Amino acid sequence: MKYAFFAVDRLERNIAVLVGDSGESIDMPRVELPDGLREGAVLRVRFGAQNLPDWSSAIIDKEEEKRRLREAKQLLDEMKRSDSGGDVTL
Amino acid sequence: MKRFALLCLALAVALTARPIAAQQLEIRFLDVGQGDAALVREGGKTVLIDAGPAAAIASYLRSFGIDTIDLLIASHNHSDHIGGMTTVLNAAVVRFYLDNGLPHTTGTYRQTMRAVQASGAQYLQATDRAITLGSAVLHVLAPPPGVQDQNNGSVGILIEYGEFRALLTGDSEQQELSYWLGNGVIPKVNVLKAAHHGSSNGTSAEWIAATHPQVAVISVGRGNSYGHPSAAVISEWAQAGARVYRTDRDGSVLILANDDGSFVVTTANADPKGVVQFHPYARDTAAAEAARPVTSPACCRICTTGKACGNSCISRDKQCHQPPGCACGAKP
Repeated sequence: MKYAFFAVDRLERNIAVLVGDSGESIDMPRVELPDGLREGAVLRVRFGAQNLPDWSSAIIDKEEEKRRLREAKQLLDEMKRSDSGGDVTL
Repeated sequence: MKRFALLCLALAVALTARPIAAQQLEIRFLDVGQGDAALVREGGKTVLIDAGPAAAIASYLRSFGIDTIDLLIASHNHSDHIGGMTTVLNAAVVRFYLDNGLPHTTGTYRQTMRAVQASGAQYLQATDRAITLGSAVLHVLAPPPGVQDQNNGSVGILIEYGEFRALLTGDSEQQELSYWLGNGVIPKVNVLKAAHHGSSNGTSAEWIAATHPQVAVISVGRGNSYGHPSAAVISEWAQAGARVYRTDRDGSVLILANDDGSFVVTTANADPKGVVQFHPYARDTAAAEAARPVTSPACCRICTTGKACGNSCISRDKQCHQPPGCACGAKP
């Protein structure tokens, strides 16, 4: 079964702004998505007819969210090490 | 009058694609649709604060002839602020990259950080630090410690150029605005970018009273799905005496500031009367009269040999593809 991940970029009132893995942005009404949605949550969504996301199949994948944050933090920590702090003159 | 003529001349120079030669601070709030991007230039150095939602930023960089960005700042990691980052990192040499240090789970964030790493840009953390840009200083306002959400984790940038001040705070909401106010780091400013695209959670009565700007700029996309900006917020800023500009209606907004605190504003969609001059900020009530803006009937650029096109002049045999701007043709 084909599926894809969409991360919740942000919540704007009743709209969830989702970002797919290739960077595409989709506005979705929150009521059509699982309860308890918050910024940073990752949705696992099955593809249905005509190869389109079947939003009714969306589930919050907490393990994928943790994995992504772990990977991001690792990269960030690596980059932070090169910052000696203090003021900067460009 | 002579002083205003000089300001107009400086503005005309600034509206060309070349960097400004005169000693002025330039801030351009770029019309990138629903998102933020602001270009700051002084002393031959360039800072870009946010990169908008997509690749549209690239055409601005090309039109301004920018191939080096000394500092690229992501106020926070929402896609309407960092969507164009990989484009920028691929199109220009970026020396420093600063963000709020709050990782995100989106593909946009992952691609951005990989592009930063691949570019060799020096990463800077959003600590309370000063960054010198020619004769201007950018004071980094760190987000509250322990904050989790991106909006309230926005990096604040207070720009000081002599007596002139501008403040950009990404999409900060009440929590972060209160934190900064409580820390006493928010002065009165001449120009303020209204936080979170002018939404009601991006301002407060205390915030308006503390910043008390002459100009408030709302970076927002036409017909966006999110209800930005809030009509009530626009009214609040206007009632506080700020002249409100919106990128969805005015197009890109250009601020040209002098170190005495005076500045002029023009916009991409301005008519010939749209160049507005502001006197140095009234730091006390006695000087309030001097702070009133003056809408100039003058043109920002007189086209003597070519013809007017938007905010600049082009050859008479070329077709103009710009909307009406502040450039004027010479009288016959």
